[in-house]
Amino acid sequence: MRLLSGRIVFDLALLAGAAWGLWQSQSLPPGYGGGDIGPGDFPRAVLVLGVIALLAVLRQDVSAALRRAPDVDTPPHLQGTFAALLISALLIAYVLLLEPLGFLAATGAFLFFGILACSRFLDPPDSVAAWRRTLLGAALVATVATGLSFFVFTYGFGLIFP
Amino acid sequence: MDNILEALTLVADLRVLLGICTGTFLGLVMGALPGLTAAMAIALLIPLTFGMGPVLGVGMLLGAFCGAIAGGAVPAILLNIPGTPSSVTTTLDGFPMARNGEAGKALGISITSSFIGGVIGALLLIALSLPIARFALEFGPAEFFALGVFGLVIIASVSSGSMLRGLVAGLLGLFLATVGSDPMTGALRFTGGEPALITGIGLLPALIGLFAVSQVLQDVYSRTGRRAAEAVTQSFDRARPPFGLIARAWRVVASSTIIGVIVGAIPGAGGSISSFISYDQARRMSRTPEKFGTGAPEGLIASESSNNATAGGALIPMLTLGVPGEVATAVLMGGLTIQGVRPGPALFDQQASLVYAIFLAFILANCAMFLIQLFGIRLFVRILGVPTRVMMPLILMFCVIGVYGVNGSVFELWLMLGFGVLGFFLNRYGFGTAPVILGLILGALTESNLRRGMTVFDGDWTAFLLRPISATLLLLAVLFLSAILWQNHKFRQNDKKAEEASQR
Amino acid sequence: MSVKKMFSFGAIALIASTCAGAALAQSNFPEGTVTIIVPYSAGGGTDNFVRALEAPLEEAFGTDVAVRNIAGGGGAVGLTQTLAAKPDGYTVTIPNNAFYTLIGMGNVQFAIDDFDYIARIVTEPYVLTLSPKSGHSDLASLVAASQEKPVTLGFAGVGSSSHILTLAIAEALGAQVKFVPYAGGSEATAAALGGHIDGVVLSPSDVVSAIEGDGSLVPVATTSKTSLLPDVPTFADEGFEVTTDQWRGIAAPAGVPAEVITAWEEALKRAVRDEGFQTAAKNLGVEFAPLYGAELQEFVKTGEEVLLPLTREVAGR
Repeated sequence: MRLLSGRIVFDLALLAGAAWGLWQSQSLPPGYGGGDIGPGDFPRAVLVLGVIALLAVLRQDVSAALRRAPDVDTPPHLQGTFAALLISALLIAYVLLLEPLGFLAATGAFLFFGILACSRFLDPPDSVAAWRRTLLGAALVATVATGLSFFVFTYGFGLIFP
Repeated sequence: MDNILEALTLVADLRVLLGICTGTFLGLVMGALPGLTAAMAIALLIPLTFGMGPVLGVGMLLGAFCGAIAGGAVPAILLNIPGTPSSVTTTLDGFPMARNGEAGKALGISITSSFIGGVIGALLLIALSLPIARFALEFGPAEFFALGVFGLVIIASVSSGSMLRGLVAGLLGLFLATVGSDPMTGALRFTGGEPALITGIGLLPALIGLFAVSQVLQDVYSRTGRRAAEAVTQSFDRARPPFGLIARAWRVVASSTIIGVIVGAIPGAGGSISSFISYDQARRMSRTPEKFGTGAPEGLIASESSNNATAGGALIPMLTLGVPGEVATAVLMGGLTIQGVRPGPALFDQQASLVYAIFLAFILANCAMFLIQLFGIRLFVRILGVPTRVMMPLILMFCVIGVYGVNGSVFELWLMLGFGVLGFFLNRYGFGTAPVILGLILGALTESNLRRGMTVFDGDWTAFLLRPISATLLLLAVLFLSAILWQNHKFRQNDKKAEEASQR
Repeated sequence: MSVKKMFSFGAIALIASTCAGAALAQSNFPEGTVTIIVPYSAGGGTDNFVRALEAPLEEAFGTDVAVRNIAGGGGAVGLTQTLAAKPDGYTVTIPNNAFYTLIGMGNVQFAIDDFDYIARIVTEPYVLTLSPKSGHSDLASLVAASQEKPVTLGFAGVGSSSHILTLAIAEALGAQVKFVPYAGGSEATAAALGGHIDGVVLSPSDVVSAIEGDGSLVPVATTSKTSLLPDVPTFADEGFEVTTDQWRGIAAPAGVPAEVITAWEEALKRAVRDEGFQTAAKNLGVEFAPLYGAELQEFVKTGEEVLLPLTREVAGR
């Protein structure tokens, strides 16, 4: 179980990516002309080196995990993971809704919920009144920031948003 | 002499001065926002210059150019988010300084080095543009390939911890650089049928994802549930321009500006490599290389003086040969062309006063950049006073605007998100993100020039070793690499000895 | 532009609510903002051309014209996105030779007929320019030398139209050529200036600044006459049949009503007379060569017949 640390899983994920790349590079056409270095040769060389380096990293990490080395990761904390996941989810929603909803609505909503989520996790208000203030503050910041950035980027810099 | 006087009268016009300041200010703002680079800043200002006279329009665009390159340092230092690709190395020492409560000092150093680098770059541009341009033209496939290989050695310098892990990150960048249409045959590689990937993975979404998004995720992750007690008080007493400190580091300034000007002048080398090379060089010259990456002022000086010197360098081939040095000057040249000014050798003959006016405007733009930022330092540091809970969503919003605003592509937003998650884990497990960017920048340079060279030299690889510049660069790469490996070996032995001593 | 834009947003909303699905909207096109999608980043040749056209076109239409850069895939992303829009004339893009080369390289899903071509506005020839260190200054000596040892010719981008034209030129000349792709025009020009390759095939605007002064490039032939290089002969003058030019115009997703196309043509005819646009076109080094209707369709067809097979040849290697 100890071996299933995030560190080792990540190493394995990178290895899997390199393996995928190697497999893909096999189907690339061969080179022609001077030197005969084809489209697949450079990535293949990089990936082979990568696999070797990754195996060495993996060896280090496994032996560190077996030794239960104290300097390995700070244990992942659940609340933090949840917070990071929530922010990522908000960002995904933002990107998904940017074109359908338009810049103003999507950005305003993202900022509002983003600030609320961050307040909840980073600096939780301790009373109902404080929550109300946070809510108001988030709405205010979201509106002002959205409007201001839309104005500056559209009319100042001439960027076009949906 | 008459030309210079005439140039003075052209520039010493209140509207022109105002135009330069406005351009610089807008450039600073755009450079500070992740996603909007110098090239983008110029491109966005070109339509504004349509109705202006050539000197006014050129001054404004040059201001934007200077400002955007310098502006990238502000978020790099304060938030660990490089505003432009060339300020990646600024984060390495700037951010640790800010975290130690020296944000004002770091900004002061960065602004002053930018200014000095920019002005020296401008002077070299005026005095030595012809010989530098001739040297730059010597760069063919063999030399570019050698430059790429030389650059790869830098991975060792910008790795945060373990060199092995830095190598993995660098190789990841090299691999990602091969995504897209093959530079020699056009065969599609690793695109998975996505049309947006035909031209490869954009540097910007990768940069913003790896640095900005991952930094936000990191902050949210590590600060949740822990009261942010570590509100560092920032000392302002050092916000004056630290000329003394920089004067003492004159060797770093000299080497970084020269590297900046020359790399900037080589068309196709891409300006963002220069700050990496200068950083690496400063680290090598330092008596205390182990301090680099933990807040060494020399690292900051190297990075910032070189990336602003690159601006002067990039103007050299544009003005002397009519060939832009990198992307930003290519866009600038387009802007000048619309104005009816065609940069190139003929411009010197036909409109010498205009060329001198361009030089003057460039120096003035550097001064404007210096003054505006100097007054802005206190304001910039205030950014750190914005509560994290508000800052995080705002940063993400700017990331989205920056990436989407440039190419209008939702796919690049997904790419940015993916790189954000990747960067979070790369940092968490000690691989670092700077080597990925370096690999991404150098990958195309190295591969396409290797293969181009094989075509041009009829498959004769010895040509790579026999040409003087490429031979020198390759030799230096080998030397530096062995020095690094030797040092590492020594450090490890010392560590072992220390460990044994402590166990006894 | 700002206030006008807000009004026009209001106007769209009003019309949409009062007469839903109105046939009326087409007869007096345009009623709202017209969007031109530039399939490249801001600051390139196509982008500069559109920016110069933007203001006069706004005047001619009496509405806003928004220029959106949707870059990526050498134009593939922006063009695909244009095709996703309704064929109502409110979303258009800029056709050029990249249409043929993207299709020929097999990198995109669309075909030439998926677009309605509204206008060709400007053209730009390709020019064969030799390095000062190549030892040649005319076509004959280049071709003769290539029989002994192939000459190296550079261009901007693999599978780009300048690549295809290099191939066409090599075939027409009967020269032995090694093709050396560069990432962009400025890299290729610098390589020729440095003598790393024998010559380049690019747009005149890419090389014109580099043909002045000592040790500069030598332009030998263009695909058609250009005001930027008035003294350079065309390939036809020299007895070789290479006449394909780069071009830029307006195209929309196929299926645009005829009256909307007419409205576009009229607006464009008025807009291109604008003095600012004419100056910008001259400074950019493009030839003002408007073409509409049947002649334009003929032109597009010819381009397809010439460039598609050559591109497929490159892609097939």
